[in-house]
Amino acid sequence: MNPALKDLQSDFKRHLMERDPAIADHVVGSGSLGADVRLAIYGNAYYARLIETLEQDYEAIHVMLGDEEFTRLCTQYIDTYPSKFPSLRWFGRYMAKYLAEHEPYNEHPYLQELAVFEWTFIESFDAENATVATEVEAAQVPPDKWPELEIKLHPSVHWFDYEWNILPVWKATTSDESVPELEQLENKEYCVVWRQDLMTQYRTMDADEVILLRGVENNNNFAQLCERLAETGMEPEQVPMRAASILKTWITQGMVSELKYD
Amino acid sequence: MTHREQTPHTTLKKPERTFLGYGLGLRTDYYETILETKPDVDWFEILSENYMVKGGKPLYYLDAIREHYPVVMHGVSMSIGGTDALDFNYLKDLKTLIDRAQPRWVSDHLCWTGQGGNNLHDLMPLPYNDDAIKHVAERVKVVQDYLGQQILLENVSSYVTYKHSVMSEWEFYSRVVEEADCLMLLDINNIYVSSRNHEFDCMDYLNGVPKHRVQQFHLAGHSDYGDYVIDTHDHPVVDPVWDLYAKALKRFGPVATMIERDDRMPPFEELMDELNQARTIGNSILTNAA
Repeated sequence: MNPALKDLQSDFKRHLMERDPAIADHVVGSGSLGADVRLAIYGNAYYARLIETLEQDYEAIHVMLGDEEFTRLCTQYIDTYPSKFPSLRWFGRYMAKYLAEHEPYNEHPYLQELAVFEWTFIESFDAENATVATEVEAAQVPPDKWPELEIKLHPSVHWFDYEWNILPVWKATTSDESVPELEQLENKEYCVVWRQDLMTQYRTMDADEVILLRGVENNNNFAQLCERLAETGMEPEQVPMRAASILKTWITQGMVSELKYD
Repeated sequence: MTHREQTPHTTLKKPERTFLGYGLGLRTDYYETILETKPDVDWFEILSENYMVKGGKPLYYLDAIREHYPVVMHGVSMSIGGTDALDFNYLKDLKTLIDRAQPRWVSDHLCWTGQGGNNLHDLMPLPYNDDAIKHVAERVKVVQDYLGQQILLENVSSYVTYKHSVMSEWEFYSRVVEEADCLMLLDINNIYVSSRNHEFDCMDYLNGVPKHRVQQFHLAGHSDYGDYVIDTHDHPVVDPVWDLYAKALKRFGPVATMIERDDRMPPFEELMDELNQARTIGNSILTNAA
């Protein structure tokens, strides 16, 4: 009687993921190759394929850790977060979490920040297509409608904060330049990533822009965004101009999908 | 409406059996070259999962290239031989892509790719016995019914033989496709790779599969380690595979043929050279046979 197909596949899976030997009872060697060598082809390929995927997703981390340490990191990641995704595209999504939670990597917080940065690029690259609001459309908003104006961001817009100099480090590692010394920044900084046309873009943001971004994510209209800015202690007459200026930058850079008003 | 509530299709859309010609895999490295130079390629094969995204570059280039070339879709995640339930989220996304890409046909592999909710991201082998035939054929019927069309299954290269296999790979493959009423994507390189790893005669394989089920060929390279060969699809096609391709043409007649390169991507001209070599062999054999 044949073993159940489910049991065969479970045994094979556990061989690849846990080095469990049970599957060896179900396979035969032939020719010059024993069953153990034949099974090892699959076992080696399992890790090799997933490590290659993580190399592509986390190029900067690979450079910073070096081949040996990066392979060790990837092997541990693979064992901790075996894939549950149909596509390899999403396999690496827990890397920042892994780095934040596991020694020795959590002793170097820049690694987790780099992982967030590198994964955010992937999220933006694959984000949903959407319309892009234009400066012409912004110019057509009637003056009395500005207070109620709602801003919908392009789905590719993502942002994060960081405390280490990961932006110049990333830039250097991904362009074969010499990598600057790691240093903790004096103040927390902010980076926004988005896709304009087909290209993924990134830049830093100042505190005002972060306030507005948070407001937009909470569905604030323009008047409410101005209230948020006013709470910083900015001169009241400066607030609407500052908010409008930031919005103009967003529109010019393709970060806004829609301007909504009645 | 869940998949169970759908009315079964009584008529599946079947790929046209006319000869589509010579194709290449559509890879990101060549997007711009293809659009700028409009190379003499008859069709492109896309890797379905790479285009099952919400937006961005892949879909942009797919739409642009589709304006000039027919496409076929080739997936790696269907796990048709798996024992987990069919992933209808995946199939739904696949169907969405089919609606967008309008491929001439859709293929995946005769294998399983995961178990217990985990994806191994590899084309894992099946035992060749009646239980597996029945299991796979049933799942193919469900998938074809859901997608509303016949699909192609590709033979994978394998490195193990199960104790409970009681027939050859080609008999297993043939019986699955007949029972499921689906078609075959015959990977000539994988036949060669498996023949080296399991010491069988490639001609037994070619002669042992039904002619009327063969819809497409893959031609690819591999990594030869002497005692075994691994189907890496990252080298040029080697002479024994070209020879086997010629024999396949003599047996099956004109079949849409594709050069499949997945890694260590060469300059585009090198792939075109390989494609033209396939054309030359094809023209020679098919003309002589006419």
